[in-house]
Amino acid sequence: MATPILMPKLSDEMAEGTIRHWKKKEGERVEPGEAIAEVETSKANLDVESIDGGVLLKQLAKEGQTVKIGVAIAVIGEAGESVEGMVAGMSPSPSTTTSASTAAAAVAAKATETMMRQGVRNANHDVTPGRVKASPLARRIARERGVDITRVQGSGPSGRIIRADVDQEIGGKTAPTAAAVDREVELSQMRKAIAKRMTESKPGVPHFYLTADIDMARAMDLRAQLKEIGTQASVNDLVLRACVVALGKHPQVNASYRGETFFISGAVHLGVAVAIDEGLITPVIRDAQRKSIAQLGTEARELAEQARARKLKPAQYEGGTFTVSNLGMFGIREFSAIINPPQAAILAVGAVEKRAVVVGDALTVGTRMTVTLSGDHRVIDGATGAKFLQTLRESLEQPLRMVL
Amino acid sequence: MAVIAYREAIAQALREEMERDDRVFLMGEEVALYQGAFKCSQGLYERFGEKRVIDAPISEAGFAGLGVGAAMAGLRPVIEFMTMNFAVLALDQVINNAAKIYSMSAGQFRCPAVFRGPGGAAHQLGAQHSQCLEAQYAHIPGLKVVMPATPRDVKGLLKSAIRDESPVICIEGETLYGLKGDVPDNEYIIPIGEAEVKREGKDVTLVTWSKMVYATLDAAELLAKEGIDAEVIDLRTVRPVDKAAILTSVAKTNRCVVIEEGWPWAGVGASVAALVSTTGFDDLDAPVERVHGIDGPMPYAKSLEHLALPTAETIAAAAKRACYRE
Repeated sequence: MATPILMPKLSDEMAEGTIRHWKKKEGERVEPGEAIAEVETSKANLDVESIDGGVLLKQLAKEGQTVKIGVAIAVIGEAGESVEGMVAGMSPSPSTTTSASTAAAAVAAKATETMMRQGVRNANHDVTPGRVKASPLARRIARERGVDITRVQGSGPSGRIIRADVDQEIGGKTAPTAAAVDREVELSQMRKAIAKRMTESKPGVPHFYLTADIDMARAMDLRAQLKEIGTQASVNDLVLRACVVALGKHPQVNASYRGETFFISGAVHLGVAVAIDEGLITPVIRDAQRKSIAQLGTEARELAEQARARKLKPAQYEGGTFTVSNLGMFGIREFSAIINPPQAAILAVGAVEKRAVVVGDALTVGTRMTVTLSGDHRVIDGATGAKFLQTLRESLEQPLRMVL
Repeated sequence: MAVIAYREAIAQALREEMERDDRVFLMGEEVALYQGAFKCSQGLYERFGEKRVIDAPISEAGFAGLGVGAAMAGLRPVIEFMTMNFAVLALDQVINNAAKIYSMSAGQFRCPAVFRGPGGAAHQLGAQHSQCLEAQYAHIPGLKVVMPATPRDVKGLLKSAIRDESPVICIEGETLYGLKGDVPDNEYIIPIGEAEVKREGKDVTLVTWSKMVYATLDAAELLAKEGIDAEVIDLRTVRPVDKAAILTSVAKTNRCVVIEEGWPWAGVGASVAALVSTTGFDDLDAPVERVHGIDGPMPYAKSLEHLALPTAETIAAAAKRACYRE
């Protein structure tokens, strides 16, 4: 029976996808689980595959055409089967007007079912199409840690996803020693009032900004010492580690606003803003609280490389709890960053530079870096943010604190 | 601590309880003059006389019924079956009378009787004398069922059973009677319904009871050599079962193997597996594995009998499956 293949939802924020190229021509045989087209989303290029075998009867979208999720892009069935009745009026109209088309509405009811059956795979990632087999524990951990289980490769019998697979996807490699504890905290009446009024006062996230100068002399010394023992650490790696330390001490900054509650994440999933040709993406270092300066640096560089190659999997850029944006390498002295919702804060990092500073009563030359924290006032207040910056400054000015 | 045999521990428990409470008496085939078919009542006839240590004729339904009546009338009978295989003849008294009288009389009568005897396969006793019948009793509301594996546990649990207000079935291990182990010198009891962690581990939970405890501990040693750290839980009581002990362990290890000597279908192991698979669902990283005797009458031939029963090797193999380490 002829069956439509729909534009799948490949990540949480995906609303539409662009057909980059068809991997199967009309009339060509399709094996179950075989990719029929490569689709470009806002984040990555992914394959759409068919769970059913058969013949690709009709392509409903042209290469380069953007199609909303849940809208048919192709029809698969038996060779020679007529698709006229099915295809009439089904082709997605160009761009985003498709949701209004009656054809889309006609297949909408079928969309959910078909999407369930439709195998979807990341181009560099093998997953058995169809129902995901996973142990209950693996599902629970994935749910708790915000990992999309459909993207995890199973190593158990018949491809079952087990705990070790989810741990690997998270990046922990080994089972967590002490479980990071998430907390859901009821909003106090004052907190609710603040939240309501802040939202009223400014549409969207009510930002506030705190700027601090940090003496980086000792941090630069540490960096030189690390280099002597063969460890390359960038200023940014030290800043990442300092953020982890500060977030550990001020967990309220490692949080997100959820209307009636705010969510304080037990683990630090550190977003690192990476500029790429098309714009900006923030890959996430999972469980950064468990990683050393060297590990943070290595992972940040690997993620940045993958980001530039557009090879990031959704699990690698979703679920961050705090973001660091560093424009120091561009010679930016200081700037204010826009918060990456639903996170509660973002740190904008400027360049390390020699400046004229006053020490005691004398004018001298010091090594300084300016950082600006943008906070979501519904979740945190100025004093909380200031304390966070204070800890951050202490860590960078006395970097042995970070090594301990 | 004294090191004594399992059968001596039973005799000690009986003697101490009979000294403590003159309502306690022992009745069964060969318990008095012969001092027990398995010598579990050594010295009791001599000490307490024929009114309290009574040889019964070969009539299980008869003397079990007498025990039920005596318990309802206020005494504390300990009814010994020569083996649990023969106790099948008295199931009507145990299931329909002992287990029911408290609720059917709206609490007017209690039946604080103990029914005890050996269960399980010994060595080449054939299909009719090698059965694990704990499921017959563990199935019945109104009964408690203990299955101690060590001299310490059998003494402590038998004393608890005698003092309990409900009918308690104490199934001993026929091959355990000669087993020696430490027993505390001072007075002690072991509460009914409490499991014991025999060996702590973090990788897989092995749940078992009675004599399978030993094969399971051996399996844990085999597993240790392969880097699998098994936790062994001895249920000790199979009704009511210590759910918390099982679930706490599975929450830690995320894997569970249930080991029993008897048949697989509709048994105690099946119920433990069901408990873990439902209440412990979100803690499981692998399906619950089961190891059990073959689903058929016990063969007489020595070689086949060996193949019919769980061994340390088959238990270890199941644990490895649960750990995805096949």
